[in-house]
Amino acid sequence: MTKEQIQSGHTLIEDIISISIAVIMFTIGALIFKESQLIASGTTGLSLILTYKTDIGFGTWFSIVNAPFFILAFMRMGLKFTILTIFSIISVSLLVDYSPLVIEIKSYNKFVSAIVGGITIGLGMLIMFRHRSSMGALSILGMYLQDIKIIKAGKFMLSIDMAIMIISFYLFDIETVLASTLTLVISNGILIMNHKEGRYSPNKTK
Amino acid sequence: MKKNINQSGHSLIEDIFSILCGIIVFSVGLLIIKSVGIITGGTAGISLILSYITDISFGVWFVIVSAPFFIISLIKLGIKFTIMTVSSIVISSLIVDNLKISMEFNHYGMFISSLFGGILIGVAILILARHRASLGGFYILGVYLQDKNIMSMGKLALISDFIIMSIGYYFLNFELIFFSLLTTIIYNVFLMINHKPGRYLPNEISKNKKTCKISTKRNKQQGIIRKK
Repeated sequence: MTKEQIQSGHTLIEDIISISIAVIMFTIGALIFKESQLIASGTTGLSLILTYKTDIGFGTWFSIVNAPFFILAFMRMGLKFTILTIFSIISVSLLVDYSPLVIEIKSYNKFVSAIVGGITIGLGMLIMFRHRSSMGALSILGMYLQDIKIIKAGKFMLSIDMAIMIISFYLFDIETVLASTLTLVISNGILIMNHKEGRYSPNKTK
Repeated sequence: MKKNINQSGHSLIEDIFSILCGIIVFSVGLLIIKSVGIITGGTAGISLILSYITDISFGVWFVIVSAPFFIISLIKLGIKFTIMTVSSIVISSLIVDNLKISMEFNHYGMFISSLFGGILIGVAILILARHRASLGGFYILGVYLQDKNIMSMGKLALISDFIIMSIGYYFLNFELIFFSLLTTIIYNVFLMINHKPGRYLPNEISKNKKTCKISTKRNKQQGIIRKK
């Protein structure tokens, strides 16, 4: 993998601002999910299931679940990508655990929060991908697989999410599972539609 | 240029899906801001001020305030853009008025609410602008001026928002206006950074038009395409 593929074509400041924005979008999505007990995609979904079933908070689980993949990220994607990813994951963990102190989201309808949460999480992941960061282990793996042209990141994550859904059938009621499936379709739809290799790299101006 | 690829370079399905996403994100951002009682810029800001001082809901005001700009849009920017914009505004009005049935946003801190709200609104406007729709009057004006290379969209929005903030100061107290300003600055800076003409066109266009290598040339090309 060459250096040019790792660079997103933005300046470092732009990358940092955009990734912070993606982190906040992602946090809002995760807060909506947590409020209405929904399951999201990938490692987020896994951490959410673990949060509902144990007493440990989402942030802690999210860091733990993602930790093994940092090594993969460091080996495959380089130092900058790894630092940005670690930064993203840790700030999401902290924000999700502590922003209930200042903002409260109430939800009365699982399907509405599935749509809203799915869109915010999908957009958060999309921004991260475009700036060559990522939000969790599976996206790192997905991005790597897309880079070596085995499978599209969106398709890979969709199949992983199917597996998570099947697990959740045994753990939650049917309404939760249906609403969660809706979020998966939305957030992965955003990724499949928008994340195509090289489609949106900024045009270099003189 | 292929028929199924429209002005923004995306297919129609992509446009509709993305615009719906943008509208929902915008509505959530606006609800977060509305829960705190602060205002924002643009026609949404005017509608927020009006909805605070009257009994009529935000959605109704938003449609009324935006209505005059529909005519400009129809004359200057074409029928497709106008249809997209009118439906975006009507749908977001409906969502903002009715989302409280199923979701509520409460706040304990102004700072976080204005930060979250500003970011959500900024992202939404950026999505809409990239798909060549908009959510209100000043953005219609902004898209028009930017395509003519008179002024960047962010700058126009900053000027109009400054005027709206000054008006809002008569109706709201200092703290509210301070955080309104913060929200507005966040999303305007966000737009200034990200919305540059020709920067993020999907690369399919450049494959069709081999000459489009430099962004300025691409802008000219776009201008020619739009006139047809």
